[in-house]
Amino acid sequence: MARSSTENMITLMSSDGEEFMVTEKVARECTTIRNMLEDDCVITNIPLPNVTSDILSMVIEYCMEHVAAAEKAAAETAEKGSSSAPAAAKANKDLEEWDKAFMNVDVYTLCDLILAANYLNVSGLLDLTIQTAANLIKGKSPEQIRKTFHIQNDLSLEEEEKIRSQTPWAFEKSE
Amino acid sequence: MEKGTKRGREEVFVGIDRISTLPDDILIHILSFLNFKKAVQTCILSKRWSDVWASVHFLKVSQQQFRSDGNENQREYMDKFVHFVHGLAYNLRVSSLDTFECFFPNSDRQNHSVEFLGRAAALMRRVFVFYGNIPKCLDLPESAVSCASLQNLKLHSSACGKIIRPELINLPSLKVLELRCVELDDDFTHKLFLSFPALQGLVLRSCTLGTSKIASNILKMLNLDHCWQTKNMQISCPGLVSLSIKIVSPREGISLEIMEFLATADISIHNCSYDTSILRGLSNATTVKFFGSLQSMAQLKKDITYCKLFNNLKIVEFGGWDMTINFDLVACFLKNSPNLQKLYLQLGSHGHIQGHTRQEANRDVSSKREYVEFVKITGGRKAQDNKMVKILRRHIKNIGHLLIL
Repeated sequence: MARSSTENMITLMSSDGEEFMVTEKVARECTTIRNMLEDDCVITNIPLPNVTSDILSMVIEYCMEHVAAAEKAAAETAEKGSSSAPAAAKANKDLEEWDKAFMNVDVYTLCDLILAANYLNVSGLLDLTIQTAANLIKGKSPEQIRKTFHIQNDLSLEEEEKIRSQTPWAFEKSE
Repeated sequence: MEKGTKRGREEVFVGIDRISTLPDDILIHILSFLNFKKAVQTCILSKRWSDVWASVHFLKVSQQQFRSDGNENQREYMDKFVHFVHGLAYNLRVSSLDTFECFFPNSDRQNHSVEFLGRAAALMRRVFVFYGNIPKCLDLPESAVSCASLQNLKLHSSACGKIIRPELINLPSLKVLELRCVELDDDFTHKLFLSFPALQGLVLRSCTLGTSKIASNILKMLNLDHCWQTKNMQISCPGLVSLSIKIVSPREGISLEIMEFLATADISIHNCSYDTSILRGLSNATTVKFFGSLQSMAQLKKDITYCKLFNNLKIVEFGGWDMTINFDLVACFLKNSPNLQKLYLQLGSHGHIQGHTRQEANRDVSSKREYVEFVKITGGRKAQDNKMVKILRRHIKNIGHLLIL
């Protein structure tokens, strides 16, 4: 990845002690980190005790891709005055495709990513992961949802019946 | 930079229930992306999930969700839907809900949907309703139009219908109203502003505007999107910050009063009558977009003659007609906008319109402007672009950066 040597680098440290060097611009994609940098501008080393290295590397991958896409769009705008609509549409589509491929993860990783996106406050990634989780629930029966997310049904038959009876309108045969 | 994404974790974590360990607010966030019935059904997944759904603040339902297969008749699934709604009203933790979005497909049992709307409006702060069709008219229930807490109301229908004038509209907290495919008359617009003392945003999409005046002292945002106009209309909203007008072949005139706080204006008018008076209303805007046709340019002649200064204007964009044939409007803005920085011209084709044989390139220019920082020309053929540049050079001594695409 091309970057100028004068650009500020920030070191992010995962919960398991791994260090990631990123540009300040990439780090600023995380609102939580951006706020820290604004409070204390000389900070260069940020420990993130809530994020493991494998998840942090994915969050950084996401932020780098989105920063690069935004920079590319900005460069095109500067060059031509304003970006042409078809080119912008294509760039958007490419980024969407990238997001889609990025979301090809197991449900455990997906949940970790949601937590990390929530903690680091990366709004684009949070929307993406939450939507992906919702899509995994859509169109599935409760049993299929349990299977997808490995949820153990700890309700007894009586308890389940009682809950159903409180909201019978939600379980009328349909769909 | 470490590039490895360790996604091969399936083997290690297979079979572990991670989602149930997420905090409530995240689970609620996930459920809010589902239709409401589906969200409620998660209550029997496990103990952890039994009451997460009851805290969602966004409710999205559709009658279609109650349709089991193609054979079932409409009446039956409508009944199920009504049953569901009654259940809702008694089971929700109402305090946590603020947004309600509902889609009603075509229905002969309109009274149910209307009743539902009334119920919903009484409970939520924001209500969005999409109707497949309003057969003749939509008789809004009193509870929907006299609800103290409602802040945001959106009514969309796919076919034009009337909203019957409710005798008592009383929505003291309503901030944004959006209507689609609705016919508006004078009586309705008059009541609208009298009864919505807090209304800041009004969006009318594909509406038929049979109203002679839109007047409010507190409205900040007005968007008339693809509306038809059946009467001369005056817009008198001095507090507007953002104005967008896209009128589809208006035969009638439109006039704007001065708006002191206007920041952005997006005007698209293709055929208009001679009564049109728009420019003076835009005199304080910082960004103006103006799309029109040669015909509407001809009708703006009077407006251009009496044009005032655009002291705040920084960016202006024109499009839709061939400015090499009629440059009057652009010339007017160049002359009257001392702080203009950017000018965008999107050239339209001139077609074969009679009476437009004049050539801008040969006309006298009364006042020449010193400088414009950035000019962009798009959409023209080569000869047209050259002609455009020639005209621009006659009106502007010095162009910082000229771009032709």
